[in-house]
Amino acid sequence: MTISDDAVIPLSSASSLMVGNLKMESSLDPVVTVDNQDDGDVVAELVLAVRKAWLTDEADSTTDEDTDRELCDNLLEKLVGDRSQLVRILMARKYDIDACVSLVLEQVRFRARWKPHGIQLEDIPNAVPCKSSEVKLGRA
Amino acid sequence: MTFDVPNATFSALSCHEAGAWRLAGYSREGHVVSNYKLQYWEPGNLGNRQKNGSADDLDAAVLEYTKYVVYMIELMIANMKGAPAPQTFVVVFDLKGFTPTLIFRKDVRLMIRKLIYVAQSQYPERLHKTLLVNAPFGFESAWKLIQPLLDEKTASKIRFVKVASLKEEIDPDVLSKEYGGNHDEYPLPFSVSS
Repeated sequence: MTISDDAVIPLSSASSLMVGNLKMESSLDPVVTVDNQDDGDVVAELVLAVRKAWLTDEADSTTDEDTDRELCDNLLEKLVGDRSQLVRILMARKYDIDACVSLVLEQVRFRARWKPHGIQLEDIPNAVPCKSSEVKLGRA
Repeated sequence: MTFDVPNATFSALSCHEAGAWRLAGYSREGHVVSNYKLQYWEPGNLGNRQKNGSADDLDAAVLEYTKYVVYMIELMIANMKGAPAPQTFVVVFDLKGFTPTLIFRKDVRLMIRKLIYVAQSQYPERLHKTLLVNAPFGFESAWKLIQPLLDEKTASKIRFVKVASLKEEIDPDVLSKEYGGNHDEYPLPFSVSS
């Protein structure tokens, strides 16, 4: 996808500042995001579509042989139970249910592989080179 | 200043200079703020300790970087205040230290792709804004390579700003002194207790 410069760096006014050819904003206009959006039945529709796709995926399972199916099942259940995350997916894919289903399944596989909550600082010793043997990433 | 970071403790170790990415308080609107300092990012040090230039070295470096990105995003999420506070974050991305050769390194390009993939596909709608500061001359060419990798929505959230403008987003008492605020430099994330 190519995107216009205007889309990347909004041109606000004559007071926009330049560094080289990069536009700099002198004023931080709000970026529109929605944290609490009423998405009605579309979430339920997505959940149904995800479950259907997951069953089909299970039947044809030829991908991601490294990931454990039971783990994926659990992650899927957790994800479809997380309404906020589903809403974020819907927004990111502009409410295209097929695209959303695809992303949900992709997220399940990603989480099965990378186990985000299991990453500890000792797993990234060069990125965060501090002494830490007992550190765990907790959840608020 | 005492800054409220629920369920988090931070390192008092003098390792500020070692890591690139740290939590840096909350925005005026309540978004978790993190600060990515390119000058402290050392992609060549990621992965295998002993390198021989093999594909395995590259894979190991990208793997560690991917884990790092996931870890940091999870850390930001874990430190979000409860609703109605926004469940999104702001990244102040400090480009000081950028050199044009950086973008032509294969490992760096792969890491940037991973960063974008993870942020866009695995944590959609979590980014509120990325504020790019201290963009040096020469960054334009790098930006032209990076920009097409971003989806339109993500790209619309990325802005080049002057350091002085950060105060519009972040209270001076929260903003680091190096950006004109009153807060000492934030330490690296050390732990988040469960």
